[in-house]
Amino acid sequence: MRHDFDKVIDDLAQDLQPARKLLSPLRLTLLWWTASWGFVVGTALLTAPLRPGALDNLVTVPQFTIEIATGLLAGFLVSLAAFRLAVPGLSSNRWLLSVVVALFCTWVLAYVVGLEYPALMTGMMGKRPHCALEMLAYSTPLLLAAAWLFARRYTIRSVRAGLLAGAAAGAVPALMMQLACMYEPVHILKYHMAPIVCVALFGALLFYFLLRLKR
Amino acid sequence: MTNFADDELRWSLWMAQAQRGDEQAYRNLLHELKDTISAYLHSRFGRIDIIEDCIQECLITLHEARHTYDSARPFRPWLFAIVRHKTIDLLRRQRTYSTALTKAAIEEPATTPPVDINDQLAGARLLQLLSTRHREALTLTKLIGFSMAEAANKVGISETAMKVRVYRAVGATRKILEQDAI
Repeated sequence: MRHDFDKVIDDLAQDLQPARKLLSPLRLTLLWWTASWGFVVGTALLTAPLRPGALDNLVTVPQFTIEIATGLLAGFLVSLAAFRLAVPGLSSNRWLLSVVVALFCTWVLAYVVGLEYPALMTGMMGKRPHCALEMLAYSTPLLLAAAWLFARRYTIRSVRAGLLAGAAAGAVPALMMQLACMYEPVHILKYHMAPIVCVALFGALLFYFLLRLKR
Repeated sequence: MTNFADDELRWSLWMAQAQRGDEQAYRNLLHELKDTISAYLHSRFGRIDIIEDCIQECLITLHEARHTYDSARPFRPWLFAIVRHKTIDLLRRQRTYSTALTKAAIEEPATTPPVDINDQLAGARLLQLLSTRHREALTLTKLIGFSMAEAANKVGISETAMKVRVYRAVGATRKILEQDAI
């Protein structure tokens, strides 16, 4: 099969339209991250208030501060790693991926350590009856927004991008629940952290089909 | 003869102009990229027929993804990320392509004499980097166009084992392409 490349190039050149400049991955991450927090905080507070004393604990209990700070950093960097995959040629950032994995492990480890040495007094105070479902409900719009942003770019590693975007979309409500729901490490691991894995897997599946369909 | 840095600068400039709608700059860019992609693929896979399809797909994808290029960044990593992706994508879909080719050959008999696959694969640097098993699996199924069952029969393994071998060979090809200095 011989191709007439001159004709292909002519056709492509005739189809040329001025392209809108896209936001850099860092700016896109900041935008998505801020909007996601706005949405999650707003919606979660509409359903129930924060756990009493949660904000005070954030300032006065260093172990709790470290848990939240690790989660925040892991969540932000995983979204940055995801959005970097939306631009060809930026994807092979192994260093960033290693940091993200290490931070997520540290975050989970903090609660495993908390099983023996909890940061706060454990108890049912502030319990939300359906926190795991809330987590999934809050993370779905975040994931869909990320998918929309990815679809406007060109993602080469769609499954990896979906996994990372899913983890980022799950991390925001998980962090919110650390402030809004009861503090009990087993509960946190089961109902706040485990759903992140579900959202990440759903993200991988969604991106695989969505981005392939687009091509 | 232009050098690496000149190419980089010129392509980046042309793409920036193309993003603003300059058709002539875009035409120049695509003509040069076509030759560059062609040289890149031929040096790695030999002079096989699917390279032409791959070049065409790469050009179309570059067109679709042109808005993702940021002129503040180097051009080559962006370009070759797309080229590698489309090459692996085409290799994965090669079975369908071979079937379509066979169908086309039945409908329209070839007017050119058949070519020797060994001639076509001569100088295929990438294939030489693959292990013997992977090279054999990839050549038989993706480049010559045997079905999995035919290839398995030739090598003397089961069809499932051949499928696994081909899957791993494509993965190994992707890794080699990613590690390739461009």
